[in-house]
Amino acid sequence: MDESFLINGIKSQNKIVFDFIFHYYYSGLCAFSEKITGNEEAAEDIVQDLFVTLWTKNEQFIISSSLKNYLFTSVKNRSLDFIKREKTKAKKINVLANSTDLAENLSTYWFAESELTRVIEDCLQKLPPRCREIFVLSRFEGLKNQEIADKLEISKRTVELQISNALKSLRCKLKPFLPIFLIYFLLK
Amino acid sequence: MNKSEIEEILPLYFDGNLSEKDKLKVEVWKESSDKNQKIFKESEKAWQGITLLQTMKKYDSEKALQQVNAKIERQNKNILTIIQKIAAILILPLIISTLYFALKKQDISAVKDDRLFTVTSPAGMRSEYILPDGTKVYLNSKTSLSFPATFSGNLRNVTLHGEAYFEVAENKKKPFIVNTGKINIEVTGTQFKASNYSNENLTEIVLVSGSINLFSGKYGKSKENIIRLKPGEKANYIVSQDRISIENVDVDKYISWKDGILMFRNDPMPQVVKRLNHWFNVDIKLTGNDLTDYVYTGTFEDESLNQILDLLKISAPIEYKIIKRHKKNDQTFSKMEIEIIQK
Repeated sequence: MDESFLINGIKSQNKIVFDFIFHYYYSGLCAFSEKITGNEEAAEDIVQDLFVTLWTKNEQFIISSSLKNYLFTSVKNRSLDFIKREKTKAKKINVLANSTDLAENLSTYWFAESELTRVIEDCLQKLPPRCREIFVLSRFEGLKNQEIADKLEISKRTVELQISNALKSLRCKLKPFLPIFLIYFLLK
Repeated sequence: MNKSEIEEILPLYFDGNLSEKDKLKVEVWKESSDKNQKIFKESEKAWQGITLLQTMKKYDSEKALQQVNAKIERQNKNILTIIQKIAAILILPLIISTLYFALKKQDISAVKDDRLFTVTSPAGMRSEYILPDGTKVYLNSKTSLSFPATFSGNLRNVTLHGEAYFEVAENKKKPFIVNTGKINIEVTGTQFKASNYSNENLTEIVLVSGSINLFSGKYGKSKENIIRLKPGEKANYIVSQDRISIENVDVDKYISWKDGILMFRNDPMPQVVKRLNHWFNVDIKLTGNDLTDYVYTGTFEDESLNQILDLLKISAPIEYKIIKRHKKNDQTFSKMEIEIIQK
């Protein structure tokens, strides 16, 4: 991904670039913030406010590392700020303990939705077939243990087919992202 | 430990849905080999990933983007209203100063600059000027007009030598005064022509529209009002006799020169000759007294002097003769001389 192109796009208030970055990172950033704050609504507010600032204060926008790094770090700081404020409000000490714990290992959760999907697919490919099968059935199709057990009685071939279907649907559930090189050409 | 059994219960391990017995089974299996440990780690990663992915799926970026757009708009609006407020505050002194200077403009013209300017139109030429107050003046051949650099005080005084047509810019508070010698003209805003060629012993004033007041002496309380002219009237002041007469005239004839048109309307021969002399800067002499009885009517625009003389010849029993120019003592050439002779 051509980062400087995206960063310049934001600096020059290019709406197409902005929308692209928004769609690409929004759910990932929200899930990340939710991980810290434990609050779905707050997570959305934090991420949306970040993007509003990104657009309106576009000229002061300085990125030293990568765009992704910048976005996740910003969300992390804003989320930690949020729980600090919550703590003083409600004196919830356990939230803080929880959050410092999280803050240490946060980069494990630095994924955009599409990136994460790829990672999961990779992981699943490395698992033994039976194991993979259970994952797909339990996690993606939401089957109960008994139902899985029942399903497992079916022939091996059919199950393999089911798995590949499940993976396919996993990919389909992704937002259709415009490939970044396409945007690049659209704007040039 | 059955390998496939482990594979079946491993994903459920992370859910915490397994019985203590099964959990132990998984842990034992995990520790039994490096390969198993690797599988365990991948499974854990997949499980975490899927959990995180499910969290992400809750968020609708389409809807969120609309909210963000709305927030941005609201903020822009806020910024805009702030800018508007600032602009309003900044523009206030601008408006005040503009008003101040606009109102002061009258006074600015009162800044005294008494230097006299004189514009002239050479013989045989006509020209036009705009005076500092916006009055438009057309100067006929051999005419000069003097006026101050600014019309300070309560009057707009100009001095005329020759013939001029005025379109006076209206300003009731500041009368426009034309000094023509003995007779002076007071105007507020109107159109008229005045002539007082020094070699003619005659001051002519023709009013086109509005009204003008003729007076003698200095403008002020001591001025002697003579007469108020109405449109279409012409005042003739014979300088040597100090006598004034008023007549109704065809105004166009007297002012057409400003548009480059030479017009005769039942004009006797001496009058025609006089006008031609001015127009072409020539010296036409009339020989024979009876010619005074012939009157001419005609309009000339682009015709040359010769063409006009040829036309005159057709309507009156005359001949004309062009006398060769001669060098004068000061090395300049004399005017073209023409003699008109009665046949």
